[in-house]
Amino acid sequence: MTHQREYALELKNITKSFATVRVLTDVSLSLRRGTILGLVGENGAGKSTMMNILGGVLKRDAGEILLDGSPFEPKGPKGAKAAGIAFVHQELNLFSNLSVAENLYITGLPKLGKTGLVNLVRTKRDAKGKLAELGIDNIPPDALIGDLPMGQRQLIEIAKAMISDAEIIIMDEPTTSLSTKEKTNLFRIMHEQIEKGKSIIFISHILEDVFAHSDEIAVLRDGKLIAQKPAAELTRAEVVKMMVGRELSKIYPTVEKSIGEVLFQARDICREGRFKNINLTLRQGEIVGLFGLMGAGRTELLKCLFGVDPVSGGEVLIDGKALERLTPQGCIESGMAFITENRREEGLLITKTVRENTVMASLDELGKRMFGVLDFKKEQAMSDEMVEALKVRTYDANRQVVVSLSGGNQQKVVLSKWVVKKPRVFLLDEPTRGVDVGAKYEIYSIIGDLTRENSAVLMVSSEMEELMGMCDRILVMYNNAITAEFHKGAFDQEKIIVAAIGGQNHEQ
Amino acid sequence: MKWFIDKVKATNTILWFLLIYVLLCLFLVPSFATAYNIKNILSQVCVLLTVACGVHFAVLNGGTDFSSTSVIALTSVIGASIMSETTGLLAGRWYAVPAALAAMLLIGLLFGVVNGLSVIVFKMPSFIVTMATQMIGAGLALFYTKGTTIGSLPASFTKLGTGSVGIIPYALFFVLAIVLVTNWLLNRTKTGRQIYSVGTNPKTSLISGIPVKRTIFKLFIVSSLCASCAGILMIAQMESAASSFASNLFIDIMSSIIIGGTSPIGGRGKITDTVIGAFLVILINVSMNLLGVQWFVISILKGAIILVAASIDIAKKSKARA
Repeated sequence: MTHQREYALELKNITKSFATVRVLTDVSLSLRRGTILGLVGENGAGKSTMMNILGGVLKRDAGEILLDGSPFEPKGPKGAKAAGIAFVHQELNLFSNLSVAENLYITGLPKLGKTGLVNLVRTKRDAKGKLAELGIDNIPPDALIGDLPMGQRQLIEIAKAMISDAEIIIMDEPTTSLSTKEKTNLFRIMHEQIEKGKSIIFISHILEDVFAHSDEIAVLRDGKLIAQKPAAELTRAEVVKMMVGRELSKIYPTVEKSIGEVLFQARDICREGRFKNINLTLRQGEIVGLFGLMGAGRTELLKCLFGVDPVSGGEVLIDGKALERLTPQGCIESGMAFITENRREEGLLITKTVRENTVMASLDELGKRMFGVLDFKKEQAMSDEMVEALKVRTYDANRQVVVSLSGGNQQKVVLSKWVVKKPRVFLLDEPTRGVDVGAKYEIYSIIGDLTRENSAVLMVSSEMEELMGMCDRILVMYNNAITAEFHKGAFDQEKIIVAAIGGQNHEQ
Repeated sequence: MKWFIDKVKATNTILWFLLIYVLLCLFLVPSFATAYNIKNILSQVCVLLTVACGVHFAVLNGGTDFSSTSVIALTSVIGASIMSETTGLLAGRWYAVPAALAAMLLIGLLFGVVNGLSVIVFKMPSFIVTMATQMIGAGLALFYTKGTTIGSLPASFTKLGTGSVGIIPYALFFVLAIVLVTNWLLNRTKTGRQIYSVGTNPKTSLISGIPVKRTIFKLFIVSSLCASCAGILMIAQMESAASSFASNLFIDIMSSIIIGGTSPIGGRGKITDTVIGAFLVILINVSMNLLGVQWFVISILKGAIILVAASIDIAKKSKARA
């Protein structure tokens, strides 16, 4: 291969349809050698489809792919690897029962001579070297993936892509579960690779990152390429406008609402080895944010409040009345709802249709007749209403399985499952993770509408900006306890961060 | 024409396989299309399909129910020992048959309760639990009969297994009722939807307020009750009972379900698929017998057909999903 060509990779006039829905129309992209191309677009704009075509997972209907100037026919993951293209996927593809080292070399484990046995010593040594080279040697190579926090797993996934010494690296939302420090680490690694002459396609929803690290930016919308320009010639506002096709005047909706009586109380919630006497209160119409660093216990607290994880003490009250059974079922009957941070594993029946997912929390209502016979008419009406109200982009809610929806639309399906029940207390864990700007606004509006009807919302998020924009109050968790409280009007990014890392002097 | 092609594409691959197999049999297998043979096939399907409808529920939860065959064995020997006209406990009493049937259903229920509770309380995989109860049931049945066969069942009862309208055995109506009820339960009711949900993803189901444990408990009850019904049909057809009658049935049960296209990891599969699967399994058995093929050849052929049939269906499904 000569390395003289200007473009490492060119995609020309790529077109693709699923059934009758066209997802890509005449898309052309070019990746200049030794640069980072930022690829942005709303969920469902066609980014992942594009990458799946490049990886040979999907077949294109028309168009041409040029790799280093010569035509390239992708033939599955192995073919892509052989051609020097590596993928870092949005969803992690690691084996949680294997060690870091084994995962890194899983596609070509070093063998002991000709015996076919795996040379574990060498695997570990190589892995150690590679991790050190990438500057992430704080992760031991023999740790089990399942024991590592999400952020470190993501780094391992990235390291895995680097190992194949690919010329082209494609990163699909690599930063979603990384802490700020890990992110800095990732971007350092990316720039090192660029200096070595590698080329990177960087797909992300976080525009700051895209602008800070890309040489060029390409915007996709509704399966069409809107623009590909040098980053220096673009502004964030322009890109957002291109992504959503309209000017986003506000990121957070303003909702006319009033805060009323105390609706929800958690009293002295305890969990062996985790929490001790956690108290919190939500009022009607109030949105309360829960901020904290990874591992501070936010997700775990929500799980206890919804009865998913058992509590060892304490009670949950709604309208001043304690719930008899602190189980998901009991909570739902009292008007609570819960969106978890992991929508694929805890929020959706991934192989079932949009309709089945939409009504799955309402089966008691649909099956009131004798023998629990389901009311299909009502089911259809519920599903249609939600698809319409939440603007779920699906070609047929009765036939399309949610696995084939884009991330933002999947999240809307999870939301519709609860919104259809008009919950009074809504617990949300990272409700906009992996969701694009346009869909984010829609999700904020849905949450806002609920509070206007006197529901209360408790929202966990790692995005401070989102909490400051949405919430009436922000609670900060540190080391499994609520350590600080901030009211709207007195939000201070710096103080909140200090509280989240265990600083003492900012309690109000 | 397009409508027709769409229809063809939408139909279960295994149904086409079944139809082609029937066609081949019509041409190649001597005395296949005789009334006697068709009646034979229909009778043989009865026991298998009844128990398969039940195990289908356990498979929908990503597991299986090994104990089904020993529930058949135990219920049938106990039922027969109550109603037998020569040696039966209630020989000659007017209520001998209803009492025997009630006892059989009760034993099935007991197995369902033990299986279900073990799975939900001790969180044991159904493979282990039902394998243990299978061994217990089989042992009890053998202990109870000491290896003998119990005969002389009341004619009024065995009529269910031996009688027929033309070429259609009475038992088939009984089976049809079971198919309709289980199919209705899965497709039309809340319980059915909950079973599919829990089989697809128990975590999501729990958080969505579905009573996961109660749902799993229910499906083991259904499975065991179906096995009891199969026991009733079996002794009616055989006009006798022995602990060994159902011992080789399990492979045919799982074959019917898996060939039909029900996902072994749970969450997907209709009762109608299992009906098709059961007919295919019986057809293979009967046609090979008619051709005078030796049993080991039948075994090899059946294995191969299961592999081919199941892989075609899986290939089709993974294509549809991409």
